[in-house]
Amino acid sequence: MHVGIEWFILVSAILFGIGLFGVFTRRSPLILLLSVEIMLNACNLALISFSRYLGQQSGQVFALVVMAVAASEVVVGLGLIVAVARRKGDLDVDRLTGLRG
Amino acid sequence: MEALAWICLFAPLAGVAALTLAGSRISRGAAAWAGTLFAFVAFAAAIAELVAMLGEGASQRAHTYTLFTWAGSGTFRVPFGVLVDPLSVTEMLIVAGVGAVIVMYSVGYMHGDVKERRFFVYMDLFLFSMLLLVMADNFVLLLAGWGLVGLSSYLLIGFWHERPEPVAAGKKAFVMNAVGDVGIAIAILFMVRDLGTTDFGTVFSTASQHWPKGSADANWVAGGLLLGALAKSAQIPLHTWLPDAMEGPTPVSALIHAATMVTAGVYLVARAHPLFVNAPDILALTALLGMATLLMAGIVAIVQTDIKRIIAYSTMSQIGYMFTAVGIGAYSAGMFHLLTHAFFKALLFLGAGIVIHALGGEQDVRRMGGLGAALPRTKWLMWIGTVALIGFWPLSKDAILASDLQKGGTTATIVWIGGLAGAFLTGIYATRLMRLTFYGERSQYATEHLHSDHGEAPWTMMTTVVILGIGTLLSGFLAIGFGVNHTFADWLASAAPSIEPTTADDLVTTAIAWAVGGAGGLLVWRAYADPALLARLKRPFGSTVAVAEHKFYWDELYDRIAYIPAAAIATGIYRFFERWVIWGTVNLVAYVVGLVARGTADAQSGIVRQYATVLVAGAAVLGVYFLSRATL
Repeated sequence: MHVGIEWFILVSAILFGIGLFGVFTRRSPLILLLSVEIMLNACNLALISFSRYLGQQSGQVFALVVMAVAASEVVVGLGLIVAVARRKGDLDVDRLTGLRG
Repeated sequence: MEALAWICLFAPLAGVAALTLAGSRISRGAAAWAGTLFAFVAFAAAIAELVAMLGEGASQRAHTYTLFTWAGSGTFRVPFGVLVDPLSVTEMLIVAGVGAVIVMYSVGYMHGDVKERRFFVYMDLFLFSMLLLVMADNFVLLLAGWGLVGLSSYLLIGFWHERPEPVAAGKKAFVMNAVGDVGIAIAILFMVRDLGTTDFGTVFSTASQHWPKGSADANWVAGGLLLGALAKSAQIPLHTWLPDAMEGPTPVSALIHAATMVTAGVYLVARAHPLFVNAPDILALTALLGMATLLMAGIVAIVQTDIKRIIAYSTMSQIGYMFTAVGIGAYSAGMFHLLTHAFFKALLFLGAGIVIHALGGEQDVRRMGGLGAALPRTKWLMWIGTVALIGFWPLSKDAILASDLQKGGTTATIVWIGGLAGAFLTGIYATRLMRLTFYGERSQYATEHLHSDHGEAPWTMMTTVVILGIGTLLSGFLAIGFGVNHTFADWLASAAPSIEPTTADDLVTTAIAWAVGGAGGLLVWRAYADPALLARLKRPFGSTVAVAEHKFYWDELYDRIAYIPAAAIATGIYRFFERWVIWGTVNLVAYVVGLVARGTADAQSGIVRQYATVLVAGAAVLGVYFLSRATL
């Protein structure tokens, strides 16, 4: 059976919504990072779907780039989280307001 | 000989480069002797050039050599070229010759100074600049040399920059000379506009076609050059820098502020005489300003107490004589006085330098006295200089005054009388200097401070003074009283044809000048031996003495008309414009930026989830916008 592009986009949108919900509702920076990761992968899914749908390869290349950037971002993010946890002992993004203007 | 001219010009510059590059890799003594060597190379080249020129016919003695085109615009060209003719060779010999022996004197005088190397770099730089000035074959290059001697003079006056006085004196000299430089620049602008060239030969031969004799343009050109000459040669009204310039080391005073640079104005008028002849009023003004300066400086010299300032005012006075000479058209007499003055004034300065050196830096003649026994050779050598200064031997001053008689007319007659009055003043101040320094009772200060651990002076210093003494005596033979022997005038005739006195003029003038000069000298000699006579002589001049001691209030006058108004304007601008307009604008901008920043800073809450919300909201707005425009 043929699965249309609409289904892929729907799954992608649902995943993106889940990720966004996580970013908005959770306070732990670790979960925040996971949520962002879900959103990125939702985008990847959309990119690849459109790539197949339109028969162009560039979307897949974008997805690869996003994965690479996401991996780097996770490294930096986790490093920051570990450093913050060591210094403050308390991980709550709403209390980490050191960059307040 | 082309090569000789370039060697003469560039040898001192090579010295500057060599000493600068060598830096502290060579010892101070080696640097001093290297600087001296380069100066002597220039002197040797100048002598060789003279010999080569003597072998040529009188009409073939002017040579122009061009190295390259220095600057250009359109059809206007400024070549880096030199003019070698009898006038410039005379100046080359004076500059390089007197310069070389004075640099040698400095080897002893500056020994042990921490900045000894730099001193010799500056001295060589001065020699190069001065040679460029006298050898240039166009006015732009001349102005370049003119500015460079001003720079070297500034560097050397302020050489001991740890003390505030030399720094102030250097600035004063530089600023007053800048006024003169502007004058020359104005003259050059006229040449470029009307003649399209600043080359000496073309300018002098075509000037009278473009600028009719006595016209406003002719006056502007000659007046501009005269302004430059007045500033460089310390003549009224731009003379006040020279006495202050005595803050520099004594060899500098001897070389720059007596023998060479300050006489550059005389050279300029003699060199550019066709332009001055084309403006008779300016020429007369030259003579009258020279006479005013020689009288004023002579009077001030009588009451000065600093040995170097006495000689400095004497220099101003003697250059006044040279200006009167070139102002009446007696160029050879003026140049001859320039030549003999270079010898005897450098001699007096360097003799004074030995006295100052022996007393550990003291310059006040009131604290000297009775030094003749301790410094006998210096005393006798300075007597040679004093006799020359009063005008007994090289007879160069008498040649100037005799030319006045030959010239005739109102201006020349006034100058003749003023010059003879100046001879009387010269007799007084020259004798007073010798009397106070070497005779009478030795002062307590001198007894305590006189040290003679190296004899009278290091041999380099004594040798130089002896050479200058011999030069003073011999220079007189070039023109024993102009009326009798015209050697020097004939030599210069091709470059600057000059008025020459008859033998009768010369004998009459010389007799009068000897009489008044000798009378002045004898009067002082008697007066200082007899305090009652001195007091009686001073009494009629009660208030005049105060005026002379204040140097005729020139500095006070310039304070009033230049410094105080300028300072008041600057303070006013500071109080009202700077403080209110500039500071106000700056502070207002800063205040507004601060306000805006404080208002917007609240958006930066530091809470990551707020940022995320704003980001998503923004994306949503954009999404709605683009979807609403999309055509499906």
